[in-house]
Amino acid sequence: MILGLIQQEMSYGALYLYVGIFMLLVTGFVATVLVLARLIAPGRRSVAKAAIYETGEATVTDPWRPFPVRYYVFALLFLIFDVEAAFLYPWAVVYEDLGLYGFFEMVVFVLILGVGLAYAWKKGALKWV
Amino acid sequence: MSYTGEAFLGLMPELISTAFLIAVLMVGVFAERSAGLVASLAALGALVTFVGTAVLLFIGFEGEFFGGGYVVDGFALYFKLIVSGSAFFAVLAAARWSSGTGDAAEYLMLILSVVLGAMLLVSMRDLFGIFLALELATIPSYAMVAFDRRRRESAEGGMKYLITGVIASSILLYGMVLIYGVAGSAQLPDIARAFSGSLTPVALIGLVLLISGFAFKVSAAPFHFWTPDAYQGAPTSAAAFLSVAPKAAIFGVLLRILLEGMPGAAPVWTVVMAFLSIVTMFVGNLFALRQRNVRRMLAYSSVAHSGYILAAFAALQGDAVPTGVQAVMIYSAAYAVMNMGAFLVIDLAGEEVKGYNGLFRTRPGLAISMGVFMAALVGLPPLSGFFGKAWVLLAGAQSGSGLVYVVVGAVVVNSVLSVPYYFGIIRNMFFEEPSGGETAGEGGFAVEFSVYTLAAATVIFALIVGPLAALAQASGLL
Repeated sequence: MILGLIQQEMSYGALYLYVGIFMLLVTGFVATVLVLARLIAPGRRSVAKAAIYETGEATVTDPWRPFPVRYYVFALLFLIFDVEAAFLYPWAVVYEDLGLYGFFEMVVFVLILGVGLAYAWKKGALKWV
Repeated sequence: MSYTGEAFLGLMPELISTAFLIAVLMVGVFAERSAGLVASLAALGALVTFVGTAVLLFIGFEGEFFGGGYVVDGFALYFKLIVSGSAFFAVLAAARWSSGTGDAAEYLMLILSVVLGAMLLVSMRDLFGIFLALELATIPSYAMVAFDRRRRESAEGGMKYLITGVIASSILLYGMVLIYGVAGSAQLPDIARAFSGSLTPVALIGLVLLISGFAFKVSAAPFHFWTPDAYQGAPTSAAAFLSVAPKAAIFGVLLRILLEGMPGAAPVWTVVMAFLSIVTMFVGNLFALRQRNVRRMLAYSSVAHSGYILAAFAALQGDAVPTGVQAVMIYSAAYAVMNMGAFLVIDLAGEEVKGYNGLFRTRPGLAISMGVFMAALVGLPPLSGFFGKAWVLLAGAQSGSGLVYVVVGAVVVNSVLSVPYYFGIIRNMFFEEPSGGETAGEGGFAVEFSVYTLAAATVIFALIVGPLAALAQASGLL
């Protein structure tokens, strides 16, 4: 009935009805499942259940300790290639149409990205210290 | 899509600054002990960009590129001149300081990136292009503010600037998206068609969010809280440059959005601008009165001056539109020379008000220059600030709207309000005994050269204001 109503007048405002119904359904579903789980599930706690799950292995050390985040520099550098790839694929698709001009345009683009890599390299970002 | 030599010509200033940006970074990294070379390269880059822009303006170059999303006209070129010109002085002022940090190339490259972003910004005619260019101009400026690693204030100011700036950007983007949703296009001429007649609620929210985002960026009250901390923490050259160049470009692009993108909604946004302007002026001046630190005082003063420029935005109605546009353009140029000079004096005379005691005895040239900047910031004729305010008042008088008359009255009241703190510095310099124990920073020859050149420009502004006004008249916006 409601769907018919919406199709009858597909005004901008009526489309929000879809979203509203959907949100009600989602909230209702989540609430129902949570309440059911609380009612049905047997609550037997034990030490083994509360232990940290390490893919079935017994934990050897305390996981809450500082560790060096060396790889963040690499993650930053990865961004250079990530951006490059994002532009190279669509460029490759229309390469034939763009011709020589498009080729040199991409060369300039890659060179500018290369400047970023060269900078990071020279500054020692690629060394694993 | 056609690529012609014309597009390369139109983008010449941007291409030049991009090339120098890359050159500065690469030379700085690959050549050992090259701070002098890097600084000269960066200064040359700013200068060549300035000359390139001036040539385009001189030959009367105009054109639209990239599907109408990018426009080169007199209006854009005028603001590009302000941006690249102030970048030249910022590089000069930063040369010696930045070589001391050991990262001169990075710092100077950041200045040139802001230049590139700000120059692209004033040419954009597409909301998303505007957003991209704005981010290109502001993201390097966060790093510039936090660049002085020896001072805690720098990191604090940078962090505050970053967080508030990011929030401002998201508000701005949200406004842009709503406007895009209403207009069905991000290009300003298409938006102008959607923003005629009465506005839908969504369009109104979009407009208000857009103006709020821009108000953050030009530190208009009540969105100004980052300004004093950022300018106090920033290296002097960064504070001087960021308070002038990106701000001028942002005012430029805001003018373009409002006049090209939503002239039909002028009755709405002039009212918003009027209230924003009044609040900004009073907040800036009243807080500046209480400051004992020259950096913070100048930061609040820059808030107040944003208010004066916004007053010209409020006057953009009826017959006053051409005068209002002129007012924004002339004020931006006048403000650039006087405010940049005043900030750079801090590099030579320190940031404590007491440090200026008796400066006329010890360093007369510097004291006279600072006196010129302070008097210009008050708006005394015949210095540069006077012409900015005169055009704002003229535009307000022509607008024929009661609310704008109130704004104009507030401009006058605030000019009087600002006298004590500007003239307090002048009094300290000329009529107090030197306090001894000079803590004044030694900025070096390049900074002194910049200060004296800018002081001269502030004084002779009266001679160039005629050509500037003619330029603004023929700028092509409208």
